[in-house]
Amino acid sequence: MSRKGKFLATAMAAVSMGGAYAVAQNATGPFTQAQVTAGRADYIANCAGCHAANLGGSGDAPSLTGATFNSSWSAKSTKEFYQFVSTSMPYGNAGNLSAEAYGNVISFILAVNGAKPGSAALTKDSDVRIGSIANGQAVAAVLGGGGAAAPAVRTAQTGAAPAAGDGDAPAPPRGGRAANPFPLGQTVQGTVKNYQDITDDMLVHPSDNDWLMGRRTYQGWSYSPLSQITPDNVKNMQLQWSWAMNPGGAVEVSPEVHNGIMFLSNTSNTIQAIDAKTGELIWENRLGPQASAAYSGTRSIGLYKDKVFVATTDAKIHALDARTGKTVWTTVIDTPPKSETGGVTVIHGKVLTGLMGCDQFSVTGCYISAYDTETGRQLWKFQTNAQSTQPGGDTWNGIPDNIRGGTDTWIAGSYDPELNTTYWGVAQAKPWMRASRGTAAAPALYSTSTLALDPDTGKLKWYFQHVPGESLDLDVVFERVLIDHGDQKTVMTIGKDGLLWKLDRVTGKFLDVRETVFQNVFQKIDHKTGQVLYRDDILNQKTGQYYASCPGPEGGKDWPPMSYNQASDLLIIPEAQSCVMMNGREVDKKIGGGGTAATQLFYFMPGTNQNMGHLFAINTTTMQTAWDWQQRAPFLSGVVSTGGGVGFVGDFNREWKAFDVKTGKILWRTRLGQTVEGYPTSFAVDGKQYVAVTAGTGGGSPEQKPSTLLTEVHRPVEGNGHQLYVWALPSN
Amino acid sequence: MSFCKRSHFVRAAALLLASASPVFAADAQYATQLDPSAFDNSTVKNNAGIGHVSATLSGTTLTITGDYSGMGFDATAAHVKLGLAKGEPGHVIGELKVTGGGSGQVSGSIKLNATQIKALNLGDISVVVDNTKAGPYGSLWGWLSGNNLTS
Repeated sequence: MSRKGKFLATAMAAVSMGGAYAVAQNATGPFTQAQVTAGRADYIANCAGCHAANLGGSGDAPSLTGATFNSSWSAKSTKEFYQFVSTSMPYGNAGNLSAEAYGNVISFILAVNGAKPGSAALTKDSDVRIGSIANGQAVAAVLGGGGAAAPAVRTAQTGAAPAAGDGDAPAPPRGGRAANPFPLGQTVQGTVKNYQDITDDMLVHPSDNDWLMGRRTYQGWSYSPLSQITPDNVKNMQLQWSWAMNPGGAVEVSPEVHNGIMFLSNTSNTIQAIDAKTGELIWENRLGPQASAAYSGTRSIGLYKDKVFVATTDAKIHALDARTGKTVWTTVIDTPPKSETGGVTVIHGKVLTGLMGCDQFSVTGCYISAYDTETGRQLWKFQTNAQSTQPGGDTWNGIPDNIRGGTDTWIAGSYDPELNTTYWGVAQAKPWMRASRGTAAAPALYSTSTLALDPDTGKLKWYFQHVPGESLDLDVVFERVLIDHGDQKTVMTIGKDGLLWKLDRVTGKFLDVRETVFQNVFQKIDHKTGQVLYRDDILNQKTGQYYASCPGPEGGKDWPPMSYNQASDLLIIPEAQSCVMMNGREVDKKIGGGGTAATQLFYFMPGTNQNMGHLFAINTTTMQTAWDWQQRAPFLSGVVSTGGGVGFVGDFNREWKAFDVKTGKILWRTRLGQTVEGYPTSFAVDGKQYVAVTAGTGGGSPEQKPSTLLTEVHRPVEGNGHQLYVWALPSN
Repeated sequence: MSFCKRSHFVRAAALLLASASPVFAADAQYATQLDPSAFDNSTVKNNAGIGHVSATLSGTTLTITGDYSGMGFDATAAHVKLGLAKGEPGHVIGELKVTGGGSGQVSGSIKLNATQIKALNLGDISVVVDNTKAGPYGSLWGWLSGNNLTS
């Protein structure tokens, strides 16, 4: 061919390619403008709670626009997209929207991604390749000029929009007529009589009758020394009272008790003071925002002096008067999509909190921060996604600071008063898979690490990174349990991968690691150094391909806490057993981009006979198994064990059980109205021991996986049945 | 030939024969339950069902028999696959037969090489049954495990 001919051929190819691109930009989709308009409202009502109003995604809910959407769906058809959405969504209520609503939502999503409406309505049979009509570039005009309206509360009763306003604004009294069915503010006025201020010494040496923080004590044991309930009499336990809780969101809360008063957090960031003996509500403050997302509540609250400290899902921290519930101060930690769900830890005049919502790239990144308990003034912050100018900042493969996602801290830390050291777990870097985030083999500090910090200054004393460059959403972020073995002071933790770690909590030195469930992601675990080595295909992963992970993001171990029973030296661990195929997607490398960015397929863990629940007891000195057993349903409550030798745990299929701590033998069981989900506690009032646990729905992988795998389990509709249950032995 | 010479000869011949003949280990037994292959909410009905398979390794021949039931769609094929680890799907190394229908039998024999035998004893070999709606990972799967597992 002549040079002129080659030039013409090249030019024609360029025009045809450009023409094809022009076709993609201008091609009409198989939906109408009316569906897009209606779809905006349907999306807000049913999808925005998890996928965010701007379709940017949050947590387990991927972005529905941009590179992530493109890499997931551009090669597939509208028919496949409809099939997936209509059988999987909304989360917790899959398949229960009308065909019209599904068509509307899909039309809206396609339009946001650049597809143009046409004349024919979209149905389940509309079959057009998505990449031929949409390019993933968000169209602001379709979103509504900077984002769709704030999501409405998702309740069983109404989809009405939330009231505006802050938590201190007076609201119509409970039961009174209100324009909004869920008013914010202090909705029940009352005063806790004879309230006794909580001192530093009381937090270090709490009364046996009290449960003053999420896992009762600074050591994080989830253990009560009360011994009234024993293996012989637990079968006689009776329900004393129950309390219906706010609908929506995830019930992963810990009923905390001081001097006979229970302080209970609900979803929609609501705090209540309740008489722990009678169940009588004393005061209620609805701080808001309302439940509109998968979580919408806090796992633990702080009790100190005359105040109750609450970190809310809009990344604020509040101090309430413990006697009246009135807001004393509010400090903004960060701005949404940043959030806080893990709870707080109060340490001599400072309230410490982690941060969530760090999956989307941002300027502020992710951090642990501390606030003055009297004034709310921020005292320090420790950056968990090490910035380039900080120690550890050279471990992100050179990616810019504001593209370093993840390293959330979503479980409140432990504290050793003698060492004056607080211990926190840090989640993985995000996006989940290294191929998506571009970190290659870089460790990405301080992801998947145990941090030992000075609570007075936030200074790092030491860190131990459990899984450098973690790549499968198997974070090691959960409770750090402080256990002494003679003179040896240890900190123990277990992550989603099921690896139980034992470190010297003075120095951070690795002591031991033990596998507790089947795992196939590490080809090597060095029991001398604690170093782990991923399977070769995981190390060499690419986006757009599936990789097997056992366990998957349900765990192994997840947020339901384990219990350390000192008398038996046993850690009793509620575990799940499931696997995933995970496929990392591309993400937009810009502020607001990122997300978790992976598609998952679920399967039962090999060799388990489809048993998804595993209760496992291990001697912490010898690191040998004491006992274990499996069951079909996974556990969605933590374990609480007691001085009487009885442990309690609840599961996805609504069973709440008591077991013998020494043997694991089941002693008593009952069935609740909803999945048993939360942090169980035990306390005493007037000499009587009580055990309390919540039931409800919501959350991420721990609920998502069994919802899909256990097809025979039917639960009440999501959002219904959020309840607190309190048991005790009969008075005689 | 004297008796002594004859007995030496017989002993030597026996030793020679013994060294020339391959020494086979006793047959090894394996089994697995067949569970739904990886799925999500949109494909859960495609992968319904359960199965049970047992296998015998005799020399280098792996013989598999088993059954499946409760599949919502007719079985079309079955395979033996070698993965990177137990629980990792891997690639096909042999074909089995199925009797068809949503419930039926699976059977067949394949030859394994030394690498594959080692993988079998690590638990990395799976049996997969496909039905008419099978996705890339099949419909039912399970990883063979037995007394010889070395993992």
